[in-house]
Amino acid sequence: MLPLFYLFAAAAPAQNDAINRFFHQYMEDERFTVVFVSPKMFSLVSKISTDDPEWENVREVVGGLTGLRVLTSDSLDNGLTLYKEALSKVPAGEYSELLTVRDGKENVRIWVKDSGNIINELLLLVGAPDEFVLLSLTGTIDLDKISNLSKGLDIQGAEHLEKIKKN
Amino acid sequence: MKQLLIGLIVSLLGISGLQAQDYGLYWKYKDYDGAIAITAPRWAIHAGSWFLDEKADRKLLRKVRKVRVLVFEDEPSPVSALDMRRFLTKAKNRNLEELLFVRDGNTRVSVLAKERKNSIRKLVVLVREPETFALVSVRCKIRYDEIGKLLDRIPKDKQKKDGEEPEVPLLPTSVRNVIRL
Repeated sequence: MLPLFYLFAAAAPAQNDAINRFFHQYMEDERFTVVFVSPKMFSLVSKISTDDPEWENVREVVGGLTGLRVLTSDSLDNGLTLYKEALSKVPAGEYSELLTVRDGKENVRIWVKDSGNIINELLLLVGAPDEFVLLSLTGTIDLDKISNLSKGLDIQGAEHLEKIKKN
Repeated sequence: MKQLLIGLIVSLLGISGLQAQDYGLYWKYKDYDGAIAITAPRWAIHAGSWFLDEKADRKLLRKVRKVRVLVFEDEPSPVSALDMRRFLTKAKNRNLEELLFVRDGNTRVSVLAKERKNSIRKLVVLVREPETFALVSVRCKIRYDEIGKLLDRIPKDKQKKDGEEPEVPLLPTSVRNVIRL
């Protein structure tokens, strides 16, 4: 438990405390799946070059990333309650809302935190009656290319990043 | 007598060096009841490479210096949380860094790696469940360009066929459903 806590803390030095606390609150909850990708992983992947243009696209994007954390579940009975709880913890002053999608009972929201022209954090929140996803991506983020990452990552919940491209 | 003493000191140094490779876990638990502990030394890996058809595969396999596997199955794992904390602290002190962590239910998977001079020197995969523990430690010297060439050689249709899970035997199905490596 303790090393995992340090790992998470190290991955999000710039992230809002409320979001951090939310991650920590549920990271040992067995209803959820937790994925953590360290800055080192992104650094290693960015050093591997191949002849595959798809891989090169992913490589270009991950080169600037410093961390990814995902908290996800698709077998909840209170997904919307959790969505509202997480929503209340996102500080509106620090993050700019990038998009909001409501499709049936599914809600998707994406925020970004920027300094000048550089986006250094992306937060994705998905809530449906039986589903919940909180995804946090830190580093230097290029919004035009970030949707490429959803294919490269192949993590449950990351497919919602595709919505950035569509919008 | 003097030679015997020197021999003994050298052997003990050798053993402590080996223990350092897996930060105590392998050596502490390899003789426990129910433990499956395998060490494949360099010569065995080299010999195994003769059975590969492709020259490039043979060359790549020969970059692997040692493989250690420790598995406990179908019984409560004797590896305690304290052991894991010690392992992770020692690993961090010796530049073995965590790349990936996945927890799904009560299954925890960690992937750690050590890099030096543009190459991967060590790769460790840990799978922890209440009734299963697996440690796979690979000591190697594989450069990033060699990994890139390996990825290029894998035909795209083999990387992931439609509706078919890629072969990652170490990862439990529950974890493979969430993150497909």
